[in-house]
Amino acid sequence: MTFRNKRRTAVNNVMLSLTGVFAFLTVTILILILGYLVYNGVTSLNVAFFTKLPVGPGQAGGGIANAIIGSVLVVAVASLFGLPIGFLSGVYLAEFGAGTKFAYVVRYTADLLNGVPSIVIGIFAWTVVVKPMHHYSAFAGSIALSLMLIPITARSTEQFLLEVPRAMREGALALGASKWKAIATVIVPAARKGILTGMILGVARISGESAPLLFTALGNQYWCRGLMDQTSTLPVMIYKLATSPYDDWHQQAWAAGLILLGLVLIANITARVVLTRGASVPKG
Amino acid sequence: MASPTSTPEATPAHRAKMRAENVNFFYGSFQALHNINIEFRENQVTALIGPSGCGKSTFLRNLNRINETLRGTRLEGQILLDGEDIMQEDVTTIRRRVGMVFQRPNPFPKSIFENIIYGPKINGMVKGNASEIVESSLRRAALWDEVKDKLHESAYALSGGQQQRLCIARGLAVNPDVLLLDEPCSALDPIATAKIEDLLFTLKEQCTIVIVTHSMQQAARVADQTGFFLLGKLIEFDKTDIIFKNPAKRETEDYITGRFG
Amino acid sequence: MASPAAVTQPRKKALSERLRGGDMVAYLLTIFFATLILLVTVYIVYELWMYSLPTLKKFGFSFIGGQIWDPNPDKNVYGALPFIYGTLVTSIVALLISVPLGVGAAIYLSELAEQKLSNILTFLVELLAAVPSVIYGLLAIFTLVPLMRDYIGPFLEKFLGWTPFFQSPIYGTGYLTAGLVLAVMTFPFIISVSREALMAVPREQREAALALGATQWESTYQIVLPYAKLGIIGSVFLGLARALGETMAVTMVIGNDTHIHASLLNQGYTIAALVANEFNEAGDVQGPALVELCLVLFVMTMLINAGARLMITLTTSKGSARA
Repeated sequence: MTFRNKRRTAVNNVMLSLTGVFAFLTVTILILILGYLVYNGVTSLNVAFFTKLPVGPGQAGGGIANAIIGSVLVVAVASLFGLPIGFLSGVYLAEFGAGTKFAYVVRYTADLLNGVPSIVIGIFAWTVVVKPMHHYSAFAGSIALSLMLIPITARSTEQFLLEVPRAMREGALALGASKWKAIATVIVPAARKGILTGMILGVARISGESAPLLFTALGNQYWCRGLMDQTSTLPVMIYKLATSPYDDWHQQAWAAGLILLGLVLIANITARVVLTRGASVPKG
Repeated sequence: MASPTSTPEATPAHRAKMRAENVNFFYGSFQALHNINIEFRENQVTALIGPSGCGKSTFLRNLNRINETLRGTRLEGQILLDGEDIMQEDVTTIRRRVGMVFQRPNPFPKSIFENIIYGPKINGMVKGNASEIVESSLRRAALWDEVKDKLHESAYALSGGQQQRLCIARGLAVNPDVLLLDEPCSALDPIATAKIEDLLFTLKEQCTIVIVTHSMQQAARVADQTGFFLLGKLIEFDKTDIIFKNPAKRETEDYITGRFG
Repeated sequence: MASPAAVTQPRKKALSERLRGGDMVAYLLTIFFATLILLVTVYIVYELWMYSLPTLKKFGFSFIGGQIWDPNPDKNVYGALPFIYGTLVTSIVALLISVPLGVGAAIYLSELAEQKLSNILTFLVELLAAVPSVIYGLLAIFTLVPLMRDYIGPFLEKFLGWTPFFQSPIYGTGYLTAGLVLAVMTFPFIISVSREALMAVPREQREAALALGATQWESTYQIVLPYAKLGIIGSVFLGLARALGETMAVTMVIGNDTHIHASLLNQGYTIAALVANEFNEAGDVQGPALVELCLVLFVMTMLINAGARLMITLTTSKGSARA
């Protein structure tokens, strides 16, 4: 082998190995994150952590029950708005509006809305809900999160509807079904697993968001007394605990982080592995 | 081991350039080639014919070891280039010496000039003579007159036939000893096809040519030798005249006369 | 008498038929919500604009170039530059790390790894993209910040301290730390979108290069990468847009310093972090100033996202189905 070819082969081997190292490095980071979180968080987990209210620094015990309930409330209400709106918009994009200019504009706007920084969404929700009502509320937080959920759901619904084979649509229409009947009874059911996956991933994504809640749901030392009351949520709680100067709060931050990450990852894994067997999902 | 195929008489002018000995080839557990023995002569065109899926392209792709890039493939037996086992040589050197033109024209999304000079560049053959290399390669592929005024335009601006001749020129630019063509005309119209067939007559003065084709007319017209593949086996290999006029095997005759399948 | 009835009767029938068939209802229902997406997005811009009008009027373009941010009632001066600077610097640091790492990993996943391994690794990498921002912040505070303060920072200062970019003081928090966290947060996007762009490159392109005697690296670097160029740049833009708008993780490690520093080891501030920290207690001028910053951020990310999506659409064939 000539010197030149030896050099080329060496470069080839070094560079290709490097790409492998990079790939495994990125995965290692994930494993380190998980491992470190479990290592630090698991010691603080106990029943009280899930059932009690937070206590001041230095006091033993206490939990984050109000934040868990708050998160569930805020995310549930956000899903109540976001999922149907997103779903119906997705049906428009894939079926009724397919090929129209208006659908193109909506699709592009949905992608832009999806890319709006979450903190900006939070500010917007503050100006349209918190400011006119003169108080922070779980409701305002839900509005902010639903604005993030709508474009995600719309685009994933559209994507999975488009994957339904043409023959299946035409088959339904050929039997004399009206368009919406074909959509409701044939097309959507055929895509239901994918659509559900998109929805679960969307809900998981907004469950981890804290920035939009900072100026809307705010936080609460105590139980949230209703949708119009301000409330603590898991992500914001973690932020407050982690940035505090107290060691025992840091411990709680780890435990709360473990719970949040656990929920998000379980939702992700379930949705992708069980429902769509690793099908590709929309990005960004 | 006895060779299952006859070998055309060697004439001193055309010594064997490349030879396959007892080649078996597997995709995973599926055996795609069975004990192939064949040789390709210098300055001759050899055509490989047979129904689709018969292994002719698979065999061709072993001659420059491009099959190695597919996962789960395995080659048994020997392929010799000038008497040296190609599996023992540096793979990039083998691929420089054994050029290949593919079914569909596959120019790079670069200018015509850059397409031609890419091979010489990576192989360290450019020493301030890039323009000459480009011109002579394009001339050898009978494309120079058509493109000399737009060398720096995108190769995608060319017609399909021109793109395929560009790919031939790109292959010739590294001065290969052997040129493999894998159904090079299957995506082309009859006029473009005729141009490429004409080209082969002049190209064989410079190198050994092996062409896989699904067109028997093409094989009959351009090839000196022809091999007939069926179900992964080389059924018959002989002078083209003999294969088409007086084949020894029943299967060959059936295929030639269109009685096959 | 008869003639008007004859005219209206079929029309009424058609409408009721269309309503009974349900197509019209379904059409109107879905287009209504689709339109809502459009309106909300426009409304967001409008609200941000209206709310920040006071500062837009008061400071004009000097807001963008202003270097002083002082909410004290006796000063009440607001300049955006330190935050725009911090946002850009942290994002650029992030990309400098995540682009080579991400594209390298994508090459491995599309060109080298067995299909099964590639799918598993990609799945894991995409899980990284699902990790909430606040979790990254939490981990960074307790792992990266001390590491940065005690080891990486002093090390960089020792060897690169002669440049303006790696000088004391070293806090642990700061531009570089935030950039590193952002790098980890952006590379899942870069990897998974780049991998798809690479896998969309026709096999014949690789074979053409290899058949000319190229090594696999040469074929990948000189032929496959340029072919997938637009998709990869698109993925980088997507990552950049995410980095620019990222709030929580950065807020937790940026250091909250309203001045501009050349040294990456020093503390700084980003737009999103400033808004997160100050908006709830903001005064009458400060509030609109913060919202105007959001507007700046919004425009930055919009432009980048629009560019990114355009490029990704141009390379991956299934244009409309691609997010």
